[in-house]
Amino acid sequence: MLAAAGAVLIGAALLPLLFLVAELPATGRTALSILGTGRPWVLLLRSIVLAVPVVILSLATGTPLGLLLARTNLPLRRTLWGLHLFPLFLPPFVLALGWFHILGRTGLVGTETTARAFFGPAGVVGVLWLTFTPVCTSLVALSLLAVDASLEEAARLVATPIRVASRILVPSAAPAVLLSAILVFALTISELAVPMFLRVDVFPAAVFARLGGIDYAPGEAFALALPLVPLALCLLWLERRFVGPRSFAVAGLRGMAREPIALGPWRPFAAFAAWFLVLLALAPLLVLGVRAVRGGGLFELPRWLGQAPSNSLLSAGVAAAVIATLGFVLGHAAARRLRGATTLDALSMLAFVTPAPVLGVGLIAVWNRGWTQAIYGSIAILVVGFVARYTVVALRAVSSSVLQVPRDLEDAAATAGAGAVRRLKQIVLPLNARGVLAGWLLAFVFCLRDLETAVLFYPAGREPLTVRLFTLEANGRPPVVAALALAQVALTGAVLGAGLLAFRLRRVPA
Amino acid sequence: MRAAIELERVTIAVGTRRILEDVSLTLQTGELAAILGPSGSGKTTLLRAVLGFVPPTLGTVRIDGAVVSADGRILRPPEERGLAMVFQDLALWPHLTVAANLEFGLESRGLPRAVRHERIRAMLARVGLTERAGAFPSELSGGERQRVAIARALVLEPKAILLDEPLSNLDLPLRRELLALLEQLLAERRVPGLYVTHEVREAAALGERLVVLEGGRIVQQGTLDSIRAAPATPFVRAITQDLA
Amino acid sequence: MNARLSAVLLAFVLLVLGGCSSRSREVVVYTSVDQVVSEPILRDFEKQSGLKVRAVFDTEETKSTGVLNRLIAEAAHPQADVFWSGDPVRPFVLIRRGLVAPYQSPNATGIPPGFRAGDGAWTGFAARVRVLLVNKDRVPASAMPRSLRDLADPRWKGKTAIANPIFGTTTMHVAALFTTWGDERGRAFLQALKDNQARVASSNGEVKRLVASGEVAFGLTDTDDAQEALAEHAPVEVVFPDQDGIGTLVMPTTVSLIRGAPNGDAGKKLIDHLLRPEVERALAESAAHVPLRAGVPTPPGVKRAGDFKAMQVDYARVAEEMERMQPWLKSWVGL
Repeated sequence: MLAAAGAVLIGAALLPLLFLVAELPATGRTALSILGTGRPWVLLLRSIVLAVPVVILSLATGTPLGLLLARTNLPLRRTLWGLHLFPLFLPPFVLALGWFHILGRTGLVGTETTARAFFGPAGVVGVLWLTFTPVCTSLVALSLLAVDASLEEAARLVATPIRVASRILVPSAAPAVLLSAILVFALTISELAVPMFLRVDVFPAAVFARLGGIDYAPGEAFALALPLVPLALCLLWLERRFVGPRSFAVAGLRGMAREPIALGPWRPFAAFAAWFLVLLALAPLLVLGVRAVRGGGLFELPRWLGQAPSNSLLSAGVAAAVIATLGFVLGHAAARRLRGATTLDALSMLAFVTPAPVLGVGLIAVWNRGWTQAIYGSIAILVVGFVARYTVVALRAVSSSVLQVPRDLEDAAATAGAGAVRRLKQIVLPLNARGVLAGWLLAFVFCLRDLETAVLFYPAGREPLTVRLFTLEANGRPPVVAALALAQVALTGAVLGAGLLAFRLRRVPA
Repeated sequence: MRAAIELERVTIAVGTRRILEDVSLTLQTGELAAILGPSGSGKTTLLRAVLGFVPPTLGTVRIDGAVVSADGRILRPPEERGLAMVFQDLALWPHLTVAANLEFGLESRGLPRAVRHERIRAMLARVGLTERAGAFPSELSGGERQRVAIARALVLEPKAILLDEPLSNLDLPLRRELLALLEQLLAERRVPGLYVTHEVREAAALGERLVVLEGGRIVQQGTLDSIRAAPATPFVRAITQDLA
Repeated sequence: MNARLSAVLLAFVLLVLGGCSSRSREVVVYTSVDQVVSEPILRDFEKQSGLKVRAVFDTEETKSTGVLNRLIAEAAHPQADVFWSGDPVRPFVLIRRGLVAPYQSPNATGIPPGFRAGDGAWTGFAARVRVLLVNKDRVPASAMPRSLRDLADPRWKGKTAIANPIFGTTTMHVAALFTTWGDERGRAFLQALKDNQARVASSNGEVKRLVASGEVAFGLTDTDDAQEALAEHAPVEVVFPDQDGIGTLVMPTTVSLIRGAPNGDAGKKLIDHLLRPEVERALAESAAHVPLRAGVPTPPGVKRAGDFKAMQVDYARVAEEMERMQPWLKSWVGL
């Protein structure tokens, strides 16, 4: 079973990368000579320099917010958390578009200075900070919720809440903080559309643009992307060493019912700060809505929507199902330290942090052949791309869930005579249903929000909504573009809503 | 006569730590041996080696005369060994009812439905849980859960039954009650058993033969009287002196 | 889990089947013409011909996804039937790599010979023109720039703009200048632009914006962007540069048939359609494209090819020049 899942993952993710490596000797010298010029390294440095403030800001705001959400008596915590999370599930490009309508020259509060500041590194950092902070908030909150109640209570008997929070709670969330740093860093480094929109030169955009220059050589693009591989491996090592297997904890929110720390006189301040941050992140969506309605964007929407929403849903939905299945098998194997599982885990993480253009070029090289036409010419190629890139999401969700289920339950099944497949089906799956469902939902929204992966090889006429939005943005009428962005938001909302409903409906005995 | 379970010079090392050191043990058909030892002495590891979850670094494990683990490898996986285990935390599957818990293993072995249901019915009746057949483990009391665990193991009619401190989480009266039930059941079915505990009284009550494990080695084997008469180590003396 | 697995497999199979069904009644076109402009024309064709059009569009003209490069990447097994290019030079990249099948459309007869290949490898129509967009508030009528060289005039230091020459129509323009003026003069001009602190904007659209808002005095851009500025009632004026000299550069959009196209016949039908006078007229109205044929009516403000002096260029040579000067250009830009 593991072998089968592993084979699929390798087919999707490793093959494209291998093909590109194989191309290197062919384009060889010229390709690698680029690396010798120093320019790619300068750009890489620029990308890193851009990513660092995003990470710092996200951690600085996400950690206290996570603490507030998980363990204090802040009002309406669940609602706040949900609203906070929502922008994370949208393509960051949509949010950048909304901010353009606020800070741009013709924007709501736009002036020459705001526009100049916005269309530059400050704008990129700002948008990505607001988009990715929920990663830190949620990981910290989930990690705090998983802390043993008695540990906290023992501390609260002898210390003030602040001391408890700073000396006991926050340190216990350290692995979560580190993991969110790694994730936010990886997400920022690979982000393509926002820097391109805001006209900032970053490394992946340069790789991407290299494909858009006049002479095309895939080996060259790959050579350009090579510096990112050691970076990715570095992130992987960090994660392995300091975070351990407990990543993407989706244990459940039962801990929220525990007696919270009273904020006392700080409550109004904290509430204000938290709500301000959350609403700030959502503001661009509101503005997009206004822009779409005024100017008749919504009215013209049907004409420009085409088949894009169904393309998005179909490709993301199927990919999510495949990813959930792969993630289930591989996640369980990783949690139980089965042989080969760690390598596959690393491979899936590598595919996640590899810049999208590199993956895209490799995928074209692998799948654009006569006998694979059926896949390459259809939405199936999008599914392949998504599976390669996002399997890690479900893998980690399942792995985290499995770690919380005692191993004895599986051993008992084995002793009773059940083989590996039966054990997975009848014991592991029911007991980790929430984790698998969470993995599926997360994978779904990640695929839905994807732009960078799909844009390189989407089948003609079958583009997902994100790509359509991106291509039309260039010269489309702003109200129409805003309306398309809203369509993406609505699509995401619908999927999330359906997924959460599925969560409610599932009843697993404790 | 072939031994039900045989460990021959089994050593299990994890990294530099030696958890079991040169352990040799034979369990005959119909015999019940109690394995005694302080925590950390390797008792659970011994059971897991017999079950097939841990390969012996050195030595051989045989079940019914057939080699199932040897040369650092597990030759026959746990699901094919025909054994049964009562785990320390019982490991009842929380999403299955009492009856389903019992049925799981029978289904895995491919028994037809009629046979399965008959066996389950009989076993539940024997342990007094017929009315609880449709309940989930979370709805049961501690003693009831214990009985389900025992029933689940025995309903498989295993080659041998292994028990890992099964009564440690119960209070005294319940412990006595379940101990008595266990004694009866095991005697009825003549199932050979390995019973791991750190409680001398339990060991003495159940097992004709006691095996004392200390620091991964068997330091003494025999009946309670023979051990008490000539304790091999201070630990053995200490634990046997307690008894009346 | 079995149920879910079968559902996934079923969906995957359906997807794949969906991909290979009805290939005969469709045509695939890759285009670098702005989606807002090209898509309505393609929809029209769909309605009139009954064929389904599946299109791949470029993003912003400067940050191209490389529709062109996708065509090259897919060369081993072409997915596209037609390449509709927003400029006349990129098709040469394909032609040189043997990816184009010559096709003489019967509708090409009205197009002047300078704007199409003799063998039908590419055919131009509806063109954009490279113009100077001038902000009337910042530039008095007496000081109107008349030539490209004015972009490097110290009088306008820091107040002129061009789009990034590494992408889009600006690349073409620079290459055309190099073929006309020669290497040395071309490089000198670009250096002069740098010395004059000409703003390098990210796109022609950005140049338009800079001029319309008055941030710069004037800039080099395309006619369709210029027309947008006029439509937005910006205080601007359009100047066709070098009318007394080398002439103004004309960039026709072009169509080419892809060699080995999956739906060759449908592709030919699409090309025939695009080369009709009605399409030139539609493009003149929607995007201020200059028709190359005589006798095509245009809305006010949109010139016709015969109304001005066009720069004499051999587009094939311009294409070669573009590739040749890539490394130098990159270093000029700093990539």
